[in-house]
Amino acid sequence: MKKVKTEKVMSTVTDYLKKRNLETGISGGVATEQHAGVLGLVSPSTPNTFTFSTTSTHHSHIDHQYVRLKSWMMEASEPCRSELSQVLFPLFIHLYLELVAGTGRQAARKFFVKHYQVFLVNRDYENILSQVLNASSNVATSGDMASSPVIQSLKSGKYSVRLSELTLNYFLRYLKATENPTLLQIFNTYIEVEVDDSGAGSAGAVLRTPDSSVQANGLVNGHTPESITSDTAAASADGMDCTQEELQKVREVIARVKCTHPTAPSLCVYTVSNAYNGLSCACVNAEGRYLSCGFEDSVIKLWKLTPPVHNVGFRKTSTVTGPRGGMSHTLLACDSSRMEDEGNGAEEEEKDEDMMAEARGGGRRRNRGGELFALRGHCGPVLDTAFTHDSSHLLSVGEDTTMKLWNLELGQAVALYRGHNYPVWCLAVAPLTMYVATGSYDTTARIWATDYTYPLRSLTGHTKGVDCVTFHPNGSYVATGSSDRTIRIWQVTDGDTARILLHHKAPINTIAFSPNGKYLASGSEDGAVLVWDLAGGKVLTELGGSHSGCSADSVVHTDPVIGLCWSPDSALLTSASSDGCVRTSHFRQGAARELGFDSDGGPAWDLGEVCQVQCGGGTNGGYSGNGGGQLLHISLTSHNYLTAVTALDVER
Amino acid sequence: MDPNQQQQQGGQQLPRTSGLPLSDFLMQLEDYVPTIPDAVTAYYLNTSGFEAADVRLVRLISLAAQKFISDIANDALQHCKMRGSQQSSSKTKGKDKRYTLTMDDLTPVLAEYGITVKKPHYYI
Repeated sequence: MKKVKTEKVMSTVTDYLKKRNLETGISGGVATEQHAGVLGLVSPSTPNTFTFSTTSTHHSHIDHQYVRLKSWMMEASEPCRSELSQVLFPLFIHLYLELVAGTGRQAARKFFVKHYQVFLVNRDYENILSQVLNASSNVATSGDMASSPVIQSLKSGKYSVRLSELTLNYFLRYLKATENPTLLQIFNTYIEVEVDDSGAGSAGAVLRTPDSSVQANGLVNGHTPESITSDTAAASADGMDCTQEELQKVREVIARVKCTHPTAPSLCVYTVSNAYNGLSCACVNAEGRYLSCGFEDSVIKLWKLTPPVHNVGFRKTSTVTGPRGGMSHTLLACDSSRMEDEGNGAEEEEKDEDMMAEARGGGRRRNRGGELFALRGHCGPVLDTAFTHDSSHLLSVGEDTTMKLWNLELGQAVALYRGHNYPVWCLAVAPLTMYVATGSYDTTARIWATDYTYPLRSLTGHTKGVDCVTFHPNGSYVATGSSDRTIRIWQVTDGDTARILLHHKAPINTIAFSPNGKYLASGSEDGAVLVWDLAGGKVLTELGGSHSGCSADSVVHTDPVIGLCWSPDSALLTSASSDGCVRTSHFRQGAARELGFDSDGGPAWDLGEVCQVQCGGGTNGGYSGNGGGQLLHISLTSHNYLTAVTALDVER
Repeated sequence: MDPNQQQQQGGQQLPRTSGLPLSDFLMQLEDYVPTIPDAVTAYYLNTSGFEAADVRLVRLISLAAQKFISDIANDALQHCKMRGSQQSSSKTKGKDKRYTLTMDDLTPVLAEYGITVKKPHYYI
């Protein structure tokens, strides 16, 4: 029925136009419809329906609406404001046309004159404004006006505006909330919104006419698309063709970066809490994925530090009557303690002995942390652990004088190495080969290969127990630090002493070769850190200790140094002491005038502080605010961040 | 007590006993709960490097420990009775005789088991 009505109206109007000898194009038809005061309205939801409504085109209303809109826009917050200002021009133009069509030229002219100035900044708009003004002022009736090309294109085309979704919703809310029927109509009829959240608003509203040749209608569309393309062209031209000044600037920045103070690596601290059975050693594997802790009750616990890639599932089985058979089958350690990993591995792991007890009883299937295994096999406290290079196996030494090799996929011990007669304090894996070195209370260090259960070399020479052992990066030398306050460097091939380094005044706790193989850093019980030159066999520089060294820094370690790490470029040395202080120092050869000369006459070496953090409260301050406990271990992962492990004791 | 002694012998040397008496014994064991709690024995087994998954094994070990203690106590009792029989027993009645475990009895018994204890005569 509505369609019939439309046709009726259309035919009446067309007849009238014919009578008046006016053109009756399609757009004219639309214009005449509007003429009659019937405004074709809003975007129909489906293309085949028509809706009609009449609104008053009283000029004061229109003016009010426009002014209100403008003031609201000015008050809007910045990103919305610039996007909404694109909408303003089309609204203005069409409002003007409405006024001309509806109420007469005087009112329209007043409206025009009042508001057009703001649009003059844009040449594009200015053109349209002048054309429209000409068209409307020169033409006698609105029917003639409708025939002018510019107005026709305006009426037939839609302005395309880019708005972000937020802005669009904001605008629509405003239009609907306040009384803006005309604006709403025009917005829906003549403005096409492209929702573009990228925030790159176009320079202005772009008119798209139905003949879809944007460039052809050069006057109306003007420079907008061209200006956009020219802008982008200019931008790309700048990007590809750097000027000499910019190149110079970049070079300067690079040089500045090289000279600046080096940045310390990030530190990730893992705290083992509620370790009532005494955490004696900890080790993080080279990639930072696994944490193994040795305890004083002979157990080694393994945690996974990263979110699990695949779940290690395990069905709960009752342990009273073995379901897999009779007595000939005993459940192995790995079976009952292997648990399914929870979602993402937490950064701070909490060790809960209750969970282990439940696991023994086959109770819980999931646990909170990323705990993987409890490895049992040692008869005494586990004193040191080390991962092999591919992290498939774990080596451990203990007070029971043995070394064990564990397979981490199965969670079982695969080899037992006997050779020492006394507790083995330390363990090191060679960087390139498969040799392993251990140091023991029996004053010897031994070199093993994992294939043989007896040692290959015995490095004898120390007078007291060997406390720390490490391999040189080239794998041909081993350095050992002992309670007799000396460091010895041995050759792996024949077990002879290559160097004896004397300087320390306290038992040596930790030693580390620099990755470039030239220097050796050692830390002792009194908090001294020394850096040795291997070629000359003497001390290059010292950090703290019984007497203050060359460094001007007053803050040095006062507690035993328990860990040393070099950065891969051998420029930074990180030292950690048992009071929780982790200090990164820059090891460099300073300018002669700053530090003076050393005995050889060359410029002195220096360990300048880069950064110092506190990540543990010391033995008695375990409940302190920074939540740490006693710092036990520190190492550098292959991803160039440090990991430290602290143990938080149970409150006694 | 035969399987018990067999078991103890088995513990000291490599087990040459056949599996059958052992399995029978273990089945008998399910009714009996030793004095030493399972958790205590399991803890000591863990500390020594053995993962105690099967409860019956744990109970076997705790039974062995209990037997060890009771053997020593019995032997000490024998020693005490021997001493007592040497002295005059006419004073005390037969029934409410009370024996006190002293180091004099315990030391030789432990020496038989291979444990040497030497107590100082006085404390400083």
